[in-house]
Amino acid sequence: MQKFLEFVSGIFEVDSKELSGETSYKSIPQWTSLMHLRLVAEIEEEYGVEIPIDEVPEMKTLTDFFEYIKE
Amino acid sequence: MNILNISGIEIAGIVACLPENIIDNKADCEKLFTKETLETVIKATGIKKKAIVDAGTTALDLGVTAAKDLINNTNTSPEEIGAVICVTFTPEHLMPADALAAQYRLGLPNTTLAFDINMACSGYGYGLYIASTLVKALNKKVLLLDGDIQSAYTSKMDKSTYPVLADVGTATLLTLGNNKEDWLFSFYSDGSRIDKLMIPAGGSKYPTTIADLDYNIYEDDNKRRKIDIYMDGFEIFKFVAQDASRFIKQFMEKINHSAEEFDAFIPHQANIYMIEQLGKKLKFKPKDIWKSAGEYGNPGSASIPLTIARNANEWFSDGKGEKILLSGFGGGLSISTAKINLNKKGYYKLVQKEKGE
Repeated sequence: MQKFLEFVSGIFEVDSKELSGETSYKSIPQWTSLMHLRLVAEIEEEYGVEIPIDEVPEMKTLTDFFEYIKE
Repeated sequence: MNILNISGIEIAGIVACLPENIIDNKADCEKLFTKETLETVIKATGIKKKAIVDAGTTALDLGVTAAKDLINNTNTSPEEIGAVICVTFTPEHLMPADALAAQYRLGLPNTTLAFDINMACSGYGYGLYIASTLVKALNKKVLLLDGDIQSAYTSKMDKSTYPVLADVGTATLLTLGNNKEDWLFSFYSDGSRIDKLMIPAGGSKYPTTIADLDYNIYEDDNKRRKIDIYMDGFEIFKFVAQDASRFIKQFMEKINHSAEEFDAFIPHQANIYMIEQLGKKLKFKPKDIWKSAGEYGNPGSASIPLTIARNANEWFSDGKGEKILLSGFGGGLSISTAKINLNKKGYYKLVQKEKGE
């Protein structure tokens, strides 16, 4: 999880200490809808997963994303 | 789900008129994002360039330019045209409709039916259906102008809208024809979500006041005026990813067509990521999904005819087929979807408005 948070901190350009699994799209201003798309695209590329489009809107916290790549 | 059926209609041609400027999106959005964020926002949306008008150019200007080229090159005389319809939410005036000025500027007879359809990104399917019914009712050709100038209503300090929205005008000419297959349409309306994508002020509910011209910072950290387009990016994303993808899938099931039975899928050009993911969800092969957003951005409902005007000649010269699935989705919230045949003998062209023309 820590490694994943560091990866995400690079995308959002924030200190990884500011992020946790609870961090949601409403809790940091950087997490806009376009950044949400970017996050999905970056995770798919980095972890070699495919997140179906209809599941993407349901992924609201970093834990939601982490659960996906863990699988 | 209602399936609306039209037979015996043919597309004589589609012309799209690009505005004066095709601008580099990255350079244009420099002030909105940090350098790294900008790189990946462009990468995530896939919108490298945007078509943007010079201030004062209208959707009707672009539509009329496209229509003149289309009329000349299909050897159509004004008397053959029974109706002109404009699909736009950015008309020249609140009243009267753009279609009246189009009738005059194109030299069409006074007997021409002329009216507008006010729809946003889903508009082309509505226009195509209504225009097709009029071709049959009037036994004449019908001209459909679809275009918007979204840049006039987009805040340069709004991260949801500014990096994607664009301007274009298009013209589609419909005639009676001998299609083997019927055209099928279906529409979806959810007015409970009108506030997710709207221009809040300037209508009769909130007539423009001086305060509406001020830029305000909103919860979503974007700065815009009340007369600018507001888009709740997450809600719209959810709408396309879930409601639209489900609705289009149900349409395909209802008309007994799998992705393989279509030659191509032409979605509204929201952004490249959405188009590709939606296409994938519907099981279309990437090569069969038509795109133009990378080069011109998202110009609203005109994105579908723009994409056809851009891609059709190359597609047909490669010997590929005519059976198309179209789908527009957006403001309303609304969806239009259709199975139609593009005419391989039709006239398809992209033109561009010259500066000061």
